[in-house]
Amino acid sequence: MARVYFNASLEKHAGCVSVAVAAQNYRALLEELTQKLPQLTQEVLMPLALVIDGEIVQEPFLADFSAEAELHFIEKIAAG
Amino acid sequence: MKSHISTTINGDSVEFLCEPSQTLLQVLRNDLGMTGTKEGCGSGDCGACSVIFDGELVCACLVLGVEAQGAAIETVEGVAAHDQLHVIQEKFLEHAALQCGICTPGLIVSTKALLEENPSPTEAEARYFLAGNLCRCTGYDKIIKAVMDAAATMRQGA
Amino acid sequence: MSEAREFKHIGQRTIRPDGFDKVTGKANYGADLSLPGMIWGAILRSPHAHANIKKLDVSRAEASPDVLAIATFEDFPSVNAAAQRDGTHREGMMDTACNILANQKVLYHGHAVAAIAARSQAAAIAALDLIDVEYEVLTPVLNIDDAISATAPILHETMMTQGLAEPATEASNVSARMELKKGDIEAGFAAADVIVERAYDTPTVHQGYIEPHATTVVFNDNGPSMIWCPTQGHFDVRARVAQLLNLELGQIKVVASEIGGGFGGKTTVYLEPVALILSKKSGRPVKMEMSRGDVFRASGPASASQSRIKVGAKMDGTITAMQATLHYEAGAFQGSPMGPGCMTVFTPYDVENLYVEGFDVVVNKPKVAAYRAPGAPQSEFAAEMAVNELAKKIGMDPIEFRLKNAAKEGTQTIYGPKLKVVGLEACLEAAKSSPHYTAPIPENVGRGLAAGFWFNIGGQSSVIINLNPDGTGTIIEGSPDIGGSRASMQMMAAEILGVAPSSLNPIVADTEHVAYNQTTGGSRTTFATGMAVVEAAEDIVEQLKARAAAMWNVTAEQVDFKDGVAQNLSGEDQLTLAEICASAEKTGGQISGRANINARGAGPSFAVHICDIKVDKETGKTDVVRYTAIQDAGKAIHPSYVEGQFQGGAVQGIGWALNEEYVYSKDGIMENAGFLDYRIPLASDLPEIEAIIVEVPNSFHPFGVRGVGETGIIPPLAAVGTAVAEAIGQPISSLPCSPPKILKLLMAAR
Ligand code: FES
Ligand code: FES
Repeated sequence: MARVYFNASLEKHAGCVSVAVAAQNYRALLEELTQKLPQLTQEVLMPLALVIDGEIVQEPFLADFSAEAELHFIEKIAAG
Repeated sequence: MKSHISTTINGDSVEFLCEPSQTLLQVLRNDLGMTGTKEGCGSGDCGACSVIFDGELVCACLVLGVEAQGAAIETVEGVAAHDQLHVIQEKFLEHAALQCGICTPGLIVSTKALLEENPSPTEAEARYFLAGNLCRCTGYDKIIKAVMDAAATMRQGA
Repeated sequence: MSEAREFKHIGQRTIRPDGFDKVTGKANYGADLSLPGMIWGAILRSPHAHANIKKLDVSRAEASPDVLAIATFEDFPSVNAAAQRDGTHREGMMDTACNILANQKVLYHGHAVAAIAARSQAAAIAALDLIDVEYEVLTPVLNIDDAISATAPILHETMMTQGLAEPATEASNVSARMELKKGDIEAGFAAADVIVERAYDTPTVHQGYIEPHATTVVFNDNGPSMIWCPTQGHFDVRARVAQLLNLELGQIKVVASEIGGGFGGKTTVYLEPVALILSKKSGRPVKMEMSRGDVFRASGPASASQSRIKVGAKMDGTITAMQATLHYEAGAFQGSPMGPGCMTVFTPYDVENLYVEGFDVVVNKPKVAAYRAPGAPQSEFAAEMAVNELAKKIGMDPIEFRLKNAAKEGTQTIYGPKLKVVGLEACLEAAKSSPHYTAPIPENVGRGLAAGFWFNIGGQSSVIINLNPDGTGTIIEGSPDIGGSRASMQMMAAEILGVAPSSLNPIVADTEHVAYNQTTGGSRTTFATGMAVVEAAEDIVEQLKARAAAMWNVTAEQVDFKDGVAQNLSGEDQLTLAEICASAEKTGGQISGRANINARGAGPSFAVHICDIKVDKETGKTDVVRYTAIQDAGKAIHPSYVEGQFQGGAVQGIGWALNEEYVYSKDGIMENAGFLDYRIPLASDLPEIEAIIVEVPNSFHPFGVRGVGETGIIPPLAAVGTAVAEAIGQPISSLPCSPPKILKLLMAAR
């Protein structure tokens, strides 16, 4: 299973530092997370970028990933 | 009351009407459509509006339009001969001495004035002469290299 | 990415295609467009830093025959609170609207209150006197300490701090708190032999682009309205104006003029929506320009900051813990780059125990905008200063100390992911063997060194390449070219198509002629738009093969395409790209390639800078006597423009460190809103900036590109700060290191 790791800001909502997920794409991931961890709402997650195995995906809507993936949500990086 | 002014710009005789408060920069850009000369500050601090006025390098934003009466003015539009770039312009391109390019017209004109006055400037002399031309993109490194190269090439050609 | 690829065009120093126009004055920038029947707009700005607008009366202006239109906040039709957060920006549309034209309250000196259009610029400015405003002046909040004090006047009555452990119950000037951590910070410090703990601050600074904001617009009821402006993102201008004025995207066409610098500052809108309101009301084209004073007072500068840093290490040089508390000024509305500041602060280090806390604070200054690697220069300045001090305490060379702790592939960052292959160690090694670092430090000179990290981004880019019947072509892209990117696009397409770069003309199209492109920023253009160019060119290659196959009556699989020539694998036949284009009419019509991508896999770029500084002990004046910038480009497409990015970033950072700062009176009036008193570096202030390009390829990009635009502004702050500290033998904790400040430090030490 893929694993999602939460940074300190998200940990407050998630109530844990990481969780294993069966999902293998972004949409399934959102559904699974918001079900497992109700405090982690779509509103919290949707504005964030998804990091898949170290690669920052700013618009992850169609992103998919492997069953061994390491996932992180981070704030979108602004342009300079 | 507008004044009627007759002047010479890049060798062409030009006439225009202007308010006493209008700067030469405003006349060039807004009335004559010569937008090659840029405005970065309007207060003589950035050099983007550099033109050569009766042989002297000036900030067009600090000269009044009415002062142009009877003067000979050179702007960036007059530096290249038709489609043949001036050596200074060629060297700016070769050395990638511009990024956004907004400071470039002013710098080309100022460099021309520098090399007319001093065909063999040292790097320090070039840096001090061009200190009135602000560039925020390049850090000046490539500009100075282009100027030194242009000077060397022009000396060889002379 | 194939190993050690040979390139024909990539890596060459070609002449940029837009160069001729830019050295002859032909290129048209933001203020260069005038239209028949055009009138001028001007803006009335607040003389106060903080005040309630008791009365805004435009009746005298309305009655004047000189005034053709007036705009106030009331003219934004449907800015509602529901649109407060638009998802992609922390900044809500309501804030954007209130920043563009004040709504009942002015929040900084220069805040726009109303606008007027008249037949000439002078007439418009004169008519501003006809607007009557009554202010109730409030106490301004001008720095972080004042803003967070319990007795501070509150800027926004409804703003509560987000991200606290317990939900906030009272209004505050702190809009948000962020916390990031890794490992066990207490244990980390307990394991340290030496600890350095210090506070640092940096001032409000401006991007200082030489071209002021300007726009010319035409409102059109029966077709798209036109906006001409210099911007880093014309699609973003379109989106914001549409939202503010309740228009459909298709009702607006934005043409990106040439742009005279931006550095992040031209990623938002100020004049454009106002000009469009004035144009709608007057039925005329409207032009507006900011003066240089307006640019300083009322466009978005970069955040002032306060940082507290604590770093602990063992005597062998292993860093055991790093901790930061970071405060960023957002200006009048929330949304400083505090987030990226927190994420980047310690990323150059592979350290087990980290803790970072950040705060976004509103003050009565202009709303900040992005500035090159937004948020990172402030926080990394503080971290790098502390790291240098710690290295010195332990008695280690600053490069060796960094090499011992350097972030590398697999390093767990504080913001979550592990780093992929990165070039920090390569940059440190290059610094170590550089002519600069190996040269002895001259007498009376201080030397400083610092590293910097920035993520870089990818994102959406759309490109079309059209080929002509003679084999020349056009690259239609939508990324405003702010520093030579057209040249890179040309070279990348030429590399794939095997033609001369000059045969392909790159065009930055308006919002109607190419699909959406994200803003030029985040160091994304050469990476993401470049990737789209490569894909569009590859699309063409496939078509060229099919067309050649049709000519030879074979299948496309039997055709190879290399260096601009199609080869029939089952025979001797060859066709050049130009020949295939010439016969396109016979083989199915003209040829064009297309790519609409959302690029992933931007590669972080690390940099290391070295600075030598001499200080005049009598006056406190500083002189940079030698400077070297080393940075990982992944792959330099056009090395001259890559060096240019390093050099330009370095010099902006030098300005930030040595001289630049907003100076406010106690009433919040900006006292140095011009280039004479806000002093950016001049040619005569600087030595040569030596640039060393390191290339550790980014495996996600076809040519290995990482963005290079932003990282270069990060290291100078601490490289300069440390060099000054070394030169005067006193710690530096506050930027800029301006002569009066240095003199004070020198006097105190005497
Ligand atoms: S516009 Fe004349 S010096 Fe700046
Ligand atoms: S190239 Fe942009 S200001 Fe000089």
